[in-house]
This record gives sequence, structure tokens and C-alpha cells, in this order.
Amino acid sequence: MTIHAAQPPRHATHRGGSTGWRKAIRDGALIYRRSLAQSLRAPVFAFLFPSAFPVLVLLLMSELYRDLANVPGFPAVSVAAWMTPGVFLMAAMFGAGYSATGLITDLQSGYLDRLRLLPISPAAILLGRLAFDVSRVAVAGLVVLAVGVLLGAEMTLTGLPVVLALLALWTLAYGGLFYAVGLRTRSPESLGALIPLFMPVTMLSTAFVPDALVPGWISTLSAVNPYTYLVEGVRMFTTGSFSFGELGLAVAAATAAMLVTQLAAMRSFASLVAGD
Amino acid sequence: MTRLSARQRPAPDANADHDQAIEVSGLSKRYRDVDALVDASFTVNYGEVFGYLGRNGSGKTTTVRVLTTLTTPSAGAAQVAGNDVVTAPHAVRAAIGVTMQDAALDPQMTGREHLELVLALWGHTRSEARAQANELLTAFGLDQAASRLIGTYSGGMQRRLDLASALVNGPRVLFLDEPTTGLDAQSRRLVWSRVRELRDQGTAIFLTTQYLEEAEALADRLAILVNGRIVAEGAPDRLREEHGPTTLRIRLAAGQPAPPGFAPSSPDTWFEQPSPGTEDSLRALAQLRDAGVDLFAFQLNQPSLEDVFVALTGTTARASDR
Repeated sequence: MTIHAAQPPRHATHRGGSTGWRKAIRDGALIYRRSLAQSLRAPVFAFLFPSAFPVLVLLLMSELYRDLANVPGFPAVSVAAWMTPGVFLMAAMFGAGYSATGLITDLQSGYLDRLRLLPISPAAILLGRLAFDVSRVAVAGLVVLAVGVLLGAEMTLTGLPVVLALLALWTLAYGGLFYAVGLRTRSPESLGALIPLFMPVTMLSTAFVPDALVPGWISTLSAVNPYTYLVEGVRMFTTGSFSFGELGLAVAAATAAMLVTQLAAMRSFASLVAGD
Repeated sequence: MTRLSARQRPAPDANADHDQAIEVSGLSKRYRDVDALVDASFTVNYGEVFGYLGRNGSGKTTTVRVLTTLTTPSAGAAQVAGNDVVTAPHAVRAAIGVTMQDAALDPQMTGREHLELVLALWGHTRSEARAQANELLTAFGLDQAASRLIGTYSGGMQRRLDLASALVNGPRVLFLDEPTTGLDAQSRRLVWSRVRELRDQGTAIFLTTQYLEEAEALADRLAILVNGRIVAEGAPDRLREEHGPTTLRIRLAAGQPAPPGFAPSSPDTWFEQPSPGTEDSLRALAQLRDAGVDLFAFQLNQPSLEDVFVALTGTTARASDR
């Protein structure tokens, strides 16, 4: 057997020379494809986990608190309808960590070094994963939403792209925390330890119980919890009471949270790929 | 974050007139309080296999990581294919191919998917990537396994796939970090013949190994590394001459006493003395003949690299070596 001299790629002439951003997007798409292929080979963690647990929460909690709907002043037709927005957003929280764990695994196995030796845009390594997170969580979110609608929540077709966009923002915001912690500690175990965080975040919000019915201190914490604003943003579409102000608040809260976590993640990642 | 665009990368042969493939001077790397590499200096030419020999933890991989731009050095300078590893890492990466012992392949991808991804990242279109991946898979005897997950590959198959992906950009400098560790004898010979082919095509090859046989079989020149320091460097023959004890061995009839200047050896009819040079040995043999000693046989033993290694380090290269 002989080695065929590898044909060098046409760096200079390739598509008339691409800019840094175009290269990042092209490379990001390649990383996205790799993530997709990986997830389809192990669909349980990628797709089933972020949809199955929220669906279970919705089914059990709405039954457990069914009679709450009889309390005077309860602002929805049923507890299930009330809880659907918060549980829909939970898909992002149970989907978080999947890709971050994959990135840490790549780091530990040396696969990331392999990528770094290739002419890949470092930004693409993160962008491809984040884009995949968003689409993976969207699939889970749609499953949760379908169950919610069956249990009495409303959802209009025009509202659907908006709530999916909010879910995407929340995926990036909450998932960014997992990337930031994972890249700092460089251990997948630390990400497992972060999973229970969904409990205080969802309970100290208006996801399960209306603000009027919770103790004052919870109401106070709920008001500084970005998740609350996202829940209310989605809820506008499941109860049919749209307002631009509320949507603006939801987007602002999600964006602020996303900037904090993603900037932290990107800083850790940049120092990682710069070499030590 | 560093941006890397196709336009910034020079064509691989932009510095082809540069005569040294690797030039390292005073290179050091310190991790916290550990000196992983201390004041290393050497050069590697095109069309040459440079063996980098040392035990586990001696600094071999650290050197590879610095020279391949994965890690920045603490001190010193290194140029690879005419480009500085610190100030022009992208140009270095464009000119090199690397197989890292501890850089895993993705077990969840197929061999074809892996090569297509590598080719696409090097800037090939999808159809080019597909065609070249098929060519490489065939050239490396992996066409039958192309659609299987890499996780099901044997160690030898993974090593071949790794080597194939390191050659995608037609590198002029190739880094092979322990390319045969854990391979069976047949796969090892296969890798060796590939390395020789590439060298004969003019590729510079930096090969780390903990196997003395491998250094002996492949390296045109080599450096021996102990605790992060290069303790000897040169052609294997020169190292043998400089550092290894050549021994004159003679065999006499059973029951004969040791002639003057000779020490008993094994088996018990053999005796030996260190030989500073061929002339000295001829003279010693002539004296024996003149003294009427009945000589059954004699040998002039060249030291092996193992002897050189022991002489330089006081230990064997590997605990498990025969």
C-alpha cells in the first residue's frame, strides 16, 4: 500500500476567501452536525430527558394541586393551564448540561486539542453546540407544550414562534451557567451537582403558584428571578392576554441572564483555547 | 477569542525554501511548580525522522504540545516550518500534521464522518471532502470499516485513522506522539513503513517513543530526554560511539583462566574487556595469539541504544522492557 499524497486544500482561493465570521458560521454548522449525529445515536439523554421530566412534573403537580383552581382569585381555568408556561421553560433547565458535559468530555479526552489543531474558528466550537442546544430543547419544549394544551392550556399558532424564541433565550441563559461552571471546574461531576438548581429557581417564581397566593418573602425573591419574567412572557400566550410591555420584560430578563452566563462561559473558553 | 480565517493562513509551501523543519532553542515549560521541559535546543531537517526518546513523564508530550502550538512555552523560542509557534501559531498549524497519543477520536462518529469533518474544516467543499475521505480510507485500509463507529475500531485501526487525518493538509512537518504504543507487532510495522515512506517524500517527522527498538529502527537522529532535560542528541551511531561501551568478548576452551585484562563473562567460557576502539581490540587479540591462548571465538559488541540509555540515565527506558 502506498500513501497518496494528500491534496492540500485551496486555502487562498476557497470561495474567494471567507471572512472570520463566515468561517465561524460554516465551522459552527459542522460542529452542529456532529452534535446532531451524536445525539441521534444516544437519544435518551439528548431528547427524552429534557421532555420526560417536565411532562411528569406537569402531570403530577397539576393533579396534586388541582383544587387550587377553586381558590377565589386564581387567575387561570385550571392548575395545569397555569403551570404549563413554567414547565415548558423547564425543558431548557433539564436540557442544560447535556452539551456542556459533552464539551468537558471533549476537553478531557483530548478531542478539543484535536479540533484546536485544525483550522477551526474557536468561536464555532461553542456556537455549534449552543445552536444545537437550542434546537434540541425546542423539540422537548414542543412535547411539553402539547401535553399542556391537552390539559387545557391555550396556545395560538402565532404565539408559538414567540414562546419558542423565549425558550431559546432561556436555554442560552440557563445553559450558559453550566458551560461557565464546567469550563471553570473542568469536571463533568460538577455539572451533575448543578441539576437540583432547577428547584429553587422554579419554586421562587410564579411558575407554580400565583403571586397573590405566596408569602411575601417568596414574592420578593420571585420579583428578582429572571425566570419569573420569562414564565409571565410565555403565560401571555397560554392565557391570551398579550402585552408588549410584558414581552419586553421577558426578553430583557432573559437577555441579561444570558449575557452574564455566556460571557463567563466564553471567557473561560477563550483562555482554554489560548493554551496554558 | 482568536479568529482564524482562510485568508490569514499562508499556503502550506509559502516557506518551502526554509531549510530547517524545526528549530528549537532554550525551550522551557513550567507548569506551576513542575519543570516539564528545561532548556531544550535541537533542529530537525526535512526528510528526516527525529526520534525523541524518554520514559513516561520525561517531557515528550510537553515538547509536542509546545511545538504544535497547543501550549505556550515559558521560555525560549521554537520555529516550525519557518514560523514561530508563539507569534504565528496559525501558520504553524497549517504546515503540520499531528497525531497525539492522548487526543482521542470521537467514538460516536464513523471513520468516514471523522475524515469528512476534518477535510471540511480544512476548507474543502462537501463533495471534495467526500471524495478525499474515500481515497484516504482506502489508502489506509479502512474502507471496509468506514461506516462503523470509531468506538468499535481496534487500536491499530484508530492509529491508522489518526494518521490519515494528520495527512489531510499535506503537512511538511509531522508530529507523531508515541504512534505505536499499545499496538501489536504487525500494526507497528505498518506504521513504521508509512513513516519511512513519508520521510522519503521529504516530510520532517518528529517522533516520540518510549521504545528503544522503534528509535533504533526509524530515527535518523534522536534526542534522549530525562526529567525534562535533553541529555544526549545525535545520530544513533554517534550516540552509541560516544556513550555506549563497546566490548570485546572472547571464548576460550573450558577450564581456562581469565587472560590478563579480561573479566569472566557469561556463559562461563566467555571473557570480556571494554574496547575503546577497533585498533585496541585488534591489538588485544594479537597479544592473546602471541601468548599462545587458544581462541575459539571472539566478538566485538556494539552497544545497543539500550546500553546508551542505561549509561546516560542509570535506568532502563521502560520498566517492562526485556
